[in-house]
Amino acid sequence: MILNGFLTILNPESLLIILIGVVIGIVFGAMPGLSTTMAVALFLPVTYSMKGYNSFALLMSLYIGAVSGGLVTAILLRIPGTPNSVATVWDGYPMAKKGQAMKALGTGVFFSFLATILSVFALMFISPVLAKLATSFGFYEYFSIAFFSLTLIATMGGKSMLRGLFSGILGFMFALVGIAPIDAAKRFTFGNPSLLGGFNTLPVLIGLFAVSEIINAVQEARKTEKIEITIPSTKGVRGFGFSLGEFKEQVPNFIRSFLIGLGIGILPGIGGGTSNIISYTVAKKQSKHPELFGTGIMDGIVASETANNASIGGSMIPLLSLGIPGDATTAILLGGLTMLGLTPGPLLYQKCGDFVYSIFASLIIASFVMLFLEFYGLRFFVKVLKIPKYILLPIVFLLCVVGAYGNNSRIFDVYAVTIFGIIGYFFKVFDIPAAPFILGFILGPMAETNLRRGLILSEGSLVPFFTHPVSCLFIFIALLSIVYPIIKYFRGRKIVRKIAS
Amino acid sequence: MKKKELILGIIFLICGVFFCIGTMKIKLHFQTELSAKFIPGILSFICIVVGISQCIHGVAYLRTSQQGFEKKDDGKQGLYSVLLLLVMIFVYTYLLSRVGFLVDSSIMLFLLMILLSPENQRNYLMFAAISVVSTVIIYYTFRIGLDLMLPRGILG
Repeated sequence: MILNGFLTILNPESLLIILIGVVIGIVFGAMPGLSTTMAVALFLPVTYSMKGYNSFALLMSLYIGAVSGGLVTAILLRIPGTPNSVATVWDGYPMAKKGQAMKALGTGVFFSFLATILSVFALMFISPVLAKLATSFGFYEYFSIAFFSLTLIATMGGKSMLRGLFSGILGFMFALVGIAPIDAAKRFTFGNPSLLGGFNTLPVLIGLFAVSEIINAVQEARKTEKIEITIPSTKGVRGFGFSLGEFKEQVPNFIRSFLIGLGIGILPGIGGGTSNIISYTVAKKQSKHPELFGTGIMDGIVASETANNASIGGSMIPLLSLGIPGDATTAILLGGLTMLGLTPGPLLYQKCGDFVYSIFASLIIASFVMLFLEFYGLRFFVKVLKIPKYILLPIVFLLCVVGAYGNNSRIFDVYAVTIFGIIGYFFKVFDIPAAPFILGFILGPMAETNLRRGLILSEGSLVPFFTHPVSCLFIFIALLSIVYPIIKYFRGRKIVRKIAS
Repeated sequence: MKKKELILGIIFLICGVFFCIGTMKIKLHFQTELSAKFIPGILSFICIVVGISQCIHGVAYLRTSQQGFEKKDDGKQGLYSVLLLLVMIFVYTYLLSRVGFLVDSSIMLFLLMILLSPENQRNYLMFAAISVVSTVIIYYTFRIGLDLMLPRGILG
């Protein structure tokens, strides 16, 4: 099957698309203010007229390029291009200051590549097994999985549980706008016929992740400073800048960080943005020389870059096998699959196996392209980074408009993009995480529809939700994820009171 | 801002009440096992609870936060720019189907570049050239290359 996937992708047109996708992805990842989600959302309209496998070749290359592109600015400028590279800054920039910029970049690029490839293999082996298992899932199981995912995003989504909860509820509420499933009641339409069909995912995502960034940039415009960036010298640098011995030393750190990244990627709501920080913290705790972390050592970069790239394959697992997106970027990919007329989930492997394996092939080829482009094409990306934001962001705005309008050729969607841009800006001002909003928007209707259908099937009884083992397990974990943070909160307060008295 | 937490709680609460009123206004056509009001009702309730909790947290934060240095910033100027941008976007969207993508977007791009750039880095001629060229490239890439219909307006 994977061979068929490669045969589909290995043609000049697809390879060119992958090359372009990775280049644009790296630029979006490296440029502070542009993000992975923004890259995939803005280029989704470009795929409207493409063949299925080419459209996903582009989206996958953008995804891989953008996740790993953040390390360039993290190391050279001490600014993480995306949240995926926050922890890369902590050791990457000190290494660059010590004159080891190429070694830091080489380490980041090489371990990003290795982690992506391995995560794709994990995806190739875990996803079909999970999909096979999921073919027996019904309304009860799907409701429980969606319910579990929704509770998880609220409790683990950010610094404040209340903010995460509010974000998730708001996303869920916006998803309810329009005609209700089963009884076709009109909800929150306020007599506006454009609202009957509800909000499309694409304008919501573009507004939340791209337009909000432009609004934010306007406020920051007065503080804009010119980016001063120097191209590090490649003189005397062999290979990726580190020795075989140094590589061997990093193997345990790599394996641990990979497993953390993969696991976190699979969980809904928390992707590469969180995994790189957790992985860095664990690597520091497990290290024989924790005091050296933050002073510019390879270990920190390996931990961060391995984990964020491992999350790529991880977040694709629930998407392809269950039709559940792991984060905001995979939520757009879900939209991309739907636009191609495909139903993501367990039947995808049975009905369009070749297509799924062409996605895997695209991911592998894009990883190789990323490896060479990011290391050897550094000069180009550094030059692109010098393009001022006041030139780039207006063009991004235009792409937002085209993306939203092109979806349905409705001006209403352009208005929607602005509204969600304002919401995204409000979230930024008040430190509210946006990921729970997106997952509430996508998973909310899934939970509601399956709950209502399940209840019709059971004639109003909730018992089957607990007698089906998978459903019962997920409801139990969901309840645990609600109760545990509350207990933790009250315990914390008790300790504080004890100390105070 | 010390009051930020409390303001946020009030916003949550207002949203919860708004959802609650919206839920009550849903008209049901027929009775099912679980009505279309059930989930919005539950969400409204949670939102109100979250709002009250956030308000309590906000009040506690106000009490415990130490008096002293409060950062003065030039936030007002930024807020005016944000409001100006939003007005510009709404006017742009309103005119999009009437004036057409090419003209409307070129002007919008030019104005956006002025709004986003620091005063000492404004090069009006370059901004105008980039605005027109990039709008034309995007228009023809999507219209001819990708078969996407964009409003033609006065040039139609």
